[in-house]
Amino acid sequence: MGEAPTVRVTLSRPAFKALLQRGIGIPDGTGTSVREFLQRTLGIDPAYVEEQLQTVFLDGHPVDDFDRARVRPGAVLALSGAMPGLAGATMRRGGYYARMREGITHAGAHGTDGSAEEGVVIVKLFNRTLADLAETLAKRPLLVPGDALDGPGTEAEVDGWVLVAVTLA
Amino acid sequence: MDTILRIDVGAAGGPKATPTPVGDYAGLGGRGLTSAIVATEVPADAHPLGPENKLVIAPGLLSGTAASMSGRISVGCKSPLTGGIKEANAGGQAGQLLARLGYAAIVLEGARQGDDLYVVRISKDGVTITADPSVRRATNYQLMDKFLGEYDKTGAMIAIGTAGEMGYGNSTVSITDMEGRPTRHAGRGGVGAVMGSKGIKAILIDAKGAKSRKPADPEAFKAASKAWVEGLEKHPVTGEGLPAYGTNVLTNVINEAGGLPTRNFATGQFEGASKISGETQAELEVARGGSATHGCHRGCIIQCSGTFVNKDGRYVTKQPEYETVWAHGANCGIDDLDVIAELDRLDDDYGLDTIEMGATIAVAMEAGVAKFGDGQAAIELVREVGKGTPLGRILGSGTATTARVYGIEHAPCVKGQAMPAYDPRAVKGIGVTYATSPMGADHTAGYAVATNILKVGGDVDPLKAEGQAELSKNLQIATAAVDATGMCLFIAFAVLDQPDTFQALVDLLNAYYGWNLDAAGVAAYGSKILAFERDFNQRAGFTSADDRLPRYFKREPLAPHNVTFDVSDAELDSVFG
Repeated sequence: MGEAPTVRVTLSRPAFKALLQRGIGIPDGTGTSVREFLQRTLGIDPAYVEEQLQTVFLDGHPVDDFDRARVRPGAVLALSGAMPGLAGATMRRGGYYARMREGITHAGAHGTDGSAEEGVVIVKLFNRTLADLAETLAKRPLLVPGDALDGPGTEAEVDGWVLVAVTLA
Repeated sequence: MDTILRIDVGAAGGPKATPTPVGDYAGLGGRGLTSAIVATEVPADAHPLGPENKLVIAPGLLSGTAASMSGRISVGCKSPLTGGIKEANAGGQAGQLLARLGYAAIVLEGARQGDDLYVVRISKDGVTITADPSVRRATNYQLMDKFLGEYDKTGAMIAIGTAGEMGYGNSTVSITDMEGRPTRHAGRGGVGAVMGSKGIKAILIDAKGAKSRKPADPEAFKAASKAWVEGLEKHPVTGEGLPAYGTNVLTNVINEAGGLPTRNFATGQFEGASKISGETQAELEVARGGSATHGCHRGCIIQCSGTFVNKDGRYVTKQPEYETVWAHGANCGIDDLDVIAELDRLDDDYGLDTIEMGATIAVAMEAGVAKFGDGQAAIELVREVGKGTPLGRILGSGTATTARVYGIEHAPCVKGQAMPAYDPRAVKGIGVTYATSPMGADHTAGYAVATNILKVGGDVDPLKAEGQAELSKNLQIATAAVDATGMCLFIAFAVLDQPDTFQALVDLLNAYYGWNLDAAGVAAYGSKILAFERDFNQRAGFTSADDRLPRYFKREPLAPHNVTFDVSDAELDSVFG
């Protein structure tokens, strides 16, 4: 992705939450473990990471070990609280029923040797994390899909993304 | 709750109701009672719509008590959809009220005489049954309009829409909610058609003057009830996630996992998932003046439902559940919540199972009857089902039949019943339950109930791949036990995580009935129910060959993870082997 100016956008909370469900880009901080990415790059409280992020996907694979799974450039990281139902239970991090989805479970170290790499990570927030983490993410520069913005933001689009500084209305 | 109300629909002069003692069925409730009666009294080779079949409607063991979440009601019979035994359960008001009136079950039995349709009225003063020509071809909401004045304050209605009256394999028995609307359904397996075959269109319950059931040990029951509520309220799923977003909170998560069946199970991710997610749905409901947090019966503290209103703020339907949003949404390529809500309303009105209907429409779309993503076409197809046109009757016969009619291999069914909203290639453990449940493909047959606490099968390592069969068996046993209590399955997470909450549930049963059940006793109870069901199915001609997923799930990889269902036949056979 080339250099891009930062565009200031004002979004309603529902509009920002809709974006977060779909996925926003975090322009730096790859090459780390999931735990480091969550805590250092995104600035999420370690206790929240451990206790509330009960369902986490890396590239669509349920993650059981935040320290072994590594975030590579282009990765998609989705965050959720604990979910209902048997399917919700199976997706849960290290959950009792995790074996029921063993075919798609994240295998652990993946896609990087652990050295720092520059690149974009797509982050999605679902359910309670939308309410809990939207304000935290709004404080940092974000990449959002160009087609999600109306007006002048689209002029700053690079590779389909626009670097924005979000103000929540 | 020591009486079974037997209604002989073939009696001289019209259907006759006779209260009988529970007798040998004492100690059974909900699914335990429906399956015991069907397995004992219905010939396994009976035609589902013939005079030998029976429809059993049974509240749970704890229904009608002060225990929170105990309002589920079970409906059982030989299924017109699967040809095997069936139990489908629902929320709503009827379970609590029937139990308070002292009924362990209502059994509709015998050979219907003539083609009159009857309305049954039950109160503490007795039972009346009258022929009512005006209810013929009435939909569930039309029945509500006609009878709401009779049941809205202290009662409930159990009814069938046009689907049940026309004998469809896809037909529900509806149960009214707190507002008197027919939004809760014993949905799966065509139970509505069996009620229709008995000529009973509606059962109106008036519980005026009926009191909450009294436990054997009131103090112990009160203490257990307090611990039970505290356990449910403190858990993040039952106390926060479900109330805020409803069951549709699963759409984003299952989609991310690549397990959201999309366009008739062609792929595991839907590009429009965030447009129909529980998070988006809740925002929309609240913004329009509806509600994202509501219970389906009094005494529910989880409040996983809601109210969906249109752009003008007018009521459309209750908050569509995850299974409905998936079936009519992702599985049909539809990403419009207003269309999905309209389909949910039509399903409730005609008395159609949303899972089966959505799966059927998707098969029809694959066959070219309509295009994937065409919401208006989907609405028109459901209207055809409700009207009983020739095409509608095919679609109303279910997913498997529709696939046969159109020459489509991709019928995502087990024992003739359509799979729910989790692709078994991505979540293989659920696939094992789909394959081996006596009910046909059913996600609630092996729910995330506390097998770890029950210790059925012993301790397991959750991260080891082997043992899917053992885990599925244990889940099915535990779920059968919960289905007998009348408790909503959404208690499962709190019970799973919190041993004290599980113990509170056992304590509720012991305090109410004066029992001394322990975890092993609960497991034995569940096993007994499954034994009834599997025995019936074997006598009905089912073999291990029926405990299989369609072969294409083994052959066709599911994107994005490109996984197939590779659990061996031997392992499937070992579930109950």
